[in-house]
Amino acid sequence: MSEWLRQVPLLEGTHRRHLAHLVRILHRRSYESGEVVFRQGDVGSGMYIVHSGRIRIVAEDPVRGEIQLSILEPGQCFGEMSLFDHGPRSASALAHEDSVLYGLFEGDLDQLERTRPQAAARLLHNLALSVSLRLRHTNERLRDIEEGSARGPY
Amino acid sequence: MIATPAVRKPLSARGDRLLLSFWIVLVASIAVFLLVSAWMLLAPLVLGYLLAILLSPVAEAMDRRRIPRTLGAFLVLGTLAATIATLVVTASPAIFHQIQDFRDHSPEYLRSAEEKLSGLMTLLGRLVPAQELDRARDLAVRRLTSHGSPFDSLHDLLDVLPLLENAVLTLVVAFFLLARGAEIRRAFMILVPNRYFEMMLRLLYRVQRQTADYLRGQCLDSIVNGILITIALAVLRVPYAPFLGTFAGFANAVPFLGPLVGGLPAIALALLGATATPWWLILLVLGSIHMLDNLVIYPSTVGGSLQLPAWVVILGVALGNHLGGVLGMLVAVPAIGLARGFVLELHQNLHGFRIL
Repeated sequence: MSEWLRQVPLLEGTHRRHLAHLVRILHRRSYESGEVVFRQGDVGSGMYIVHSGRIRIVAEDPVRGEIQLSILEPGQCFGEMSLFDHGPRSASALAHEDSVLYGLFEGDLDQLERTRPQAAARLLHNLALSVSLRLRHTNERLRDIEEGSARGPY
Repeated sequence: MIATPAVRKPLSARGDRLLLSFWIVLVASIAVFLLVSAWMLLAPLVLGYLLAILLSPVAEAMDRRRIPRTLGAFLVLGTLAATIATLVVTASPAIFHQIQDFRDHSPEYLRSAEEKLSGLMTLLGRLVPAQELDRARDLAVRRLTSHGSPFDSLHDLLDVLPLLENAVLTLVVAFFLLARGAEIRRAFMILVPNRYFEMMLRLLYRVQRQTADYLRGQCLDSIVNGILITIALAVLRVPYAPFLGTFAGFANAVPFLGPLVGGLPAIALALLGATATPWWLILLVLGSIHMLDNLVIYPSTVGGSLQLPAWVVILGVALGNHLGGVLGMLVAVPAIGLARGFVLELHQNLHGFRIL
């Protein structure tokens, strides 16, 4: 398990000893294909890392219905925004196939900050990096869309 | 296909508030009833859990310094048990001496009380038959002047054994929770279905955090109050100051009524002539300490972790007293506060996760 965690980008640079501690903290959950992990609008309190299987992230639009945002592969994580703001989920997550996830929640992060502050700092640094990369990507997409609409339909 | 998000009802809706109040009263009543009726059975579990919550920051600090969790739990509880044992061994002779001294002086205090309350006794004599009044006075004298230490007979000693047994069980429960709490919680969470998993985890975490904040804050507040009152009474030359200060510290755990009950014995002693200090000066000093507690100590220790209206506290204390005497009184207010926190959190979670 520690070996697998070493390969998760989110835990890059985390000390082996801290990874062994994380193994004791993370929650292992199994989902059948099609099962909902969480729904858009639900209160969120943590994030998940995909261990096996694939997870589909969808946005629910009252007009257009379900919009698929991405399919996550093993090693990728999702739901991390709720770990910080404890706000409602911005999208839904469903098991695209039978999947195993590892969850880290606000209580676990709280405990990690108290018992392994270095590991918590590393994790938060990596999370900030991941969120900023996504924000940059979103900005680029937004700019492309705006440029596209400025150029007109041709 | 995922269902469209439901519109969340505002928490402030009148129906919601009524329903919430009902649930809070129900959960608090069940908690108080269970604690009181099955106290001997539940006491080690509840006290062990509360002790583990109280001491977890110390165990976590050791964990941070790479002391294995099991060893850390052993060291924390071992130190606590050794401290309590030392305090009992060193302080109990002094406390027994003070109790004995009070008993020796009690006939004198009673005479003084009778003199000072003669007007009231005359009034009482008109309302209550003289025979009943004499019987009550004899009973009070017998209770106060009966000599002997608490361990005079084997029967008394045997009465203490279940308490020791419970204390050991409490330490064992606290040890397992401190050493293996995270694993126990994780093992429990495996049993929860995916649909309710995140909600349950959040609920447990938040209720535990609320309990921990309240417990640590209240303990700190009681200790500070106990020390301040002990010092103040010693300076005012009131006899039995450490004993009265400790009692006031414990009583302080009951909001509103506690400080009043905690201060009464010292004022009563002054009225009975046990000290040359006038009763009004003691009242003034204790009142000032209470003000200091209300304005500075309590907000910075307990804060807003258990905000209950005064009428709920008084009703809770009365109910606790009815169900379980002094123990019920002490347990009732935290039980109501925690039940309120649990129900509010559960309500928010059930709505937040759209289970309701």
